[in-house]
Amino acid sequence: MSEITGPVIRRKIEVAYRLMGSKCLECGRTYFPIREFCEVDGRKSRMEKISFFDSKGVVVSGSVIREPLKRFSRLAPYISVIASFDGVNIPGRLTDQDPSLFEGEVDVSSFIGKEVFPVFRRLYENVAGIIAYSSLNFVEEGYHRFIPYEEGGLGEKTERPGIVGYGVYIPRYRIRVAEIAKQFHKDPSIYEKGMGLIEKSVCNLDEDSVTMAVEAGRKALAHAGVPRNRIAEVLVGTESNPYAVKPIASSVIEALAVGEEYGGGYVCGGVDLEFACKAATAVFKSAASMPLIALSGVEFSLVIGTDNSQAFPGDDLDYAAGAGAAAFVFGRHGVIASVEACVSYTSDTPDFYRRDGQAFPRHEDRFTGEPAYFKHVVNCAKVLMEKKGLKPKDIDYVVFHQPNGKFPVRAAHQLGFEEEQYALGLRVPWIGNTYSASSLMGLAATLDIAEPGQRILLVSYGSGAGSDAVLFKIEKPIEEKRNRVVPVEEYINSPHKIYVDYSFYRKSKEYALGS
Amino acid sequence: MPKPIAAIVGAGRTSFGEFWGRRPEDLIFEAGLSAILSVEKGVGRRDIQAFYIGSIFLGRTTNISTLGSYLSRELGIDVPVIASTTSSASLYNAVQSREFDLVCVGGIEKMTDSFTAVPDLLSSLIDYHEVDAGFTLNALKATMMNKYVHDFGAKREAFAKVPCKNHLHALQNQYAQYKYRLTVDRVLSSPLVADPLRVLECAPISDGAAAVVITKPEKAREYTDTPIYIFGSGQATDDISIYSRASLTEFYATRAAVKRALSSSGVELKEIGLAEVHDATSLEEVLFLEDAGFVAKGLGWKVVDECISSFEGSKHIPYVVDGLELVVNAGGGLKADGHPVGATGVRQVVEAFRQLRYEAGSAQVDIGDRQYALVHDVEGIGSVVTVHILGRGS
Repeated sequence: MSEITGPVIRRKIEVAYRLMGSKCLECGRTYFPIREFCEVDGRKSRMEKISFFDSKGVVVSGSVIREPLKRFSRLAPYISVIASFDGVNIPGRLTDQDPSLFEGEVDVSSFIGKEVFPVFRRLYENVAGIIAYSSLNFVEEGYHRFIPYEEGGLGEKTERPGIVGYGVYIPRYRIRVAEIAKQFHKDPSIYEKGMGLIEKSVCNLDEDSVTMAVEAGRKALAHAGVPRNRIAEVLVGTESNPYAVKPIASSVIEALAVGEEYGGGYVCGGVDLEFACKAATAVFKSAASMPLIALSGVEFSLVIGTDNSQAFPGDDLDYAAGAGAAAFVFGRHGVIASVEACVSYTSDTPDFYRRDGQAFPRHEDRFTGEPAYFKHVVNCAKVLMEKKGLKPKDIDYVVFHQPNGKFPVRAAHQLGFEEEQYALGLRVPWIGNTYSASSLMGLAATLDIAEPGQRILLVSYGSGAGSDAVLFKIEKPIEEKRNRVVPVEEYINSPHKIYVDYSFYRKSKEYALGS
Repeated sequence: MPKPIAAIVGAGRTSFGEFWGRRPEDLIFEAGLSAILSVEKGVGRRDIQAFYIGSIFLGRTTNISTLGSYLSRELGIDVPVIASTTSSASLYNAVQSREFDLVCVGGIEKMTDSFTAVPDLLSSLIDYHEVDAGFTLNALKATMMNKYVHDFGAKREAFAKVPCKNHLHALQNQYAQYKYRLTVDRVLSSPLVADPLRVLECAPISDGAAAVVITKPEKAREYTDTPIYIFGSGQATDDISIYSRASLTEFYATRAAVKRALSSSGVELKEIGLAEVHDATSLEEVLFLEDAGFVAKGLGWKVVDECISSFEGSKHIPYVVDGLELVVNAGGGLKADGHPVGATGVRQVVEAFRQLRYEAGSAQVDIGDRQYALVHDVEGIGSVVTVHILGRGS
């Protein structure tokens, strides 16, 4: 039987990640996909590669696929369309629809004329297990906001490095904690009041940690506006990479075209990191330091926390494990939040873990609290504040890792912080615990609001166990960049959220495992 | 006066259907032998100088890629074998090449050997970026249908009448896969395949084979007193991807191939009384009427809707345009006769051959003094179209 092999997938990546086409420099005609030859100019044609990834299209026609190919069957039924991007037609799957749309025959003509834009999603895997991703997927504006990357200036170079741009991605689907409780005949108030959880984000069936990392990274790049060919390092923190061996970082580099393009690849480094929920914050200090070290050759770096973590059905984690990603561009130009101090704190504490090959992580119940989360979070924050000679009142906002709605509040009180300092950064009740992105969602929500001169203290936690504390100071450029941010609140309060039932949610988690 | 370029002196086929127990070589042998035996004045297998054979999936459904060598073993002869992906392409090759005096042209498919793989096989006929966008062959057709309905305000029921009419035509066809009546209600309540296309508007998965014996026109009467001549043939191709085509409401390759076939034959469209059309879905028969030039753009659905009203009795239902009758798919077309992909093109020729010779018995169409038939075969989504013009000659 025919098989989509590694070489075939590689060739498709070169076209489908960034929707690459060609433009004839002789006559201006544009094409999708890449071609060597203009049909007007023939042998005179001079072809240049162009990308449609940052463009909008209009639906020309489409159909609902009820009898898909086997490799697409997990996504069916779904709608596929042809969309016109300035007269160049490109095919794509119109994703993130309300599943109830497909209950009867769909009037596809109602989609004709709608504006769409491409998103990076997971398609299928081949027999050997290679996962095919592509941007031959479209969404309508609504829940998703279209913010194309436009290369701006570098911005002013400053002494202190820090965050230059950021972006988050939260999937469109949600499940209410009460819906989960219903499945297991539990009183929902145990989770709503006891754990401070209302609802959580759920990946669509074509999403995973890789696609969310790309979409968050894409937003961070659009926000930063710095030349993406000058980003030379991509660091991805995750504990839910669908591959045991093969980095997410390389997918991000290719999909976002970061680093100087050279010989069919990019002059850019990258690595995936694992330290439970603090994998991404663990490298904030590295990312901030690299521009200060000439030898690194890194002016800008991209740090992403992304997770769609597994939870055993009915376990406490099943109520908490959300899905999302947050991305931050670090550098010394146009800094919106400079790094004032970093402290990390570690001990060998086995409170939560997953052995390779195990589908679900395990945790040691109450042992995850006092001797694990609180010990590391509180001590780490204390050390940083002592070092800098700061009291809680000197800090405007504090953001903690948020495995539930209760732990961060208790940690804040133990450290002497008030509600107005931590409330803004506490987003877990409406998103769930997004693991490597969890504290970063709170950081992004705080950056959405914070004013120049204010200070944010970020304290992450990763089981196993350790914390990173990073102190930021908000800088002036944050104001002029605000129009290129999709605020965390926009995702949380979107009228376009779709609530799913437990079976959709379960499918979403199972498919991410690739089983 | 149109001048023939080749003559058909014999034709044969198997029934179409699901033949789980039959070997592909049995099917091709049955079709080939019945074609050879049908030659009135007699030919033997050793008189055949070459085989032109079409099959698009046998290599993948049955893991047989050297069909020629199977022919050698089954028939005990050694002659050149020229293989193509469709049997209409084989016929085109055979007609265009004047190298041999007597050849056999056939097609074979054994789809049920990999029944569950059929969607994957069909996806190899379309652009791989369309596949990655989630499309299937039928979904692309549905996409065109949605655009057509949107642009021309076509009535949904008109499309559903096509399979009903073709099922009616198949009632008298002893070889047909499906011999039962359909109603518009039943079609429109059958499961959705790709909205708005429903399963009863799509051709089935079939096994089968068909074959014809071809000679040069000047030698035809050595074999039979009633040869059917091929007056013209045309082939055209279009972009593999529908998104890069100029229009989503027509098949350019059908337009071009019909035009080429007509101009090479000197036959005029109004002289055609019978058309064997590639109705892999209801959409394609409607678009054929427009693309071939029988009906103006955007009005195909209207002609279908007006001409097909009842499915009672057993008489063929012709389309009537400008007072002239055109019978389409006399034996039920791909939908009801069956669609073993690589064999379909020659099966259509076999049908036209029987009709033009008045040998179709109770399934005979009265095409009056319009003595020409048009055979329209398609590969993929209007990607490669082959058209032949057949006639009785003087």
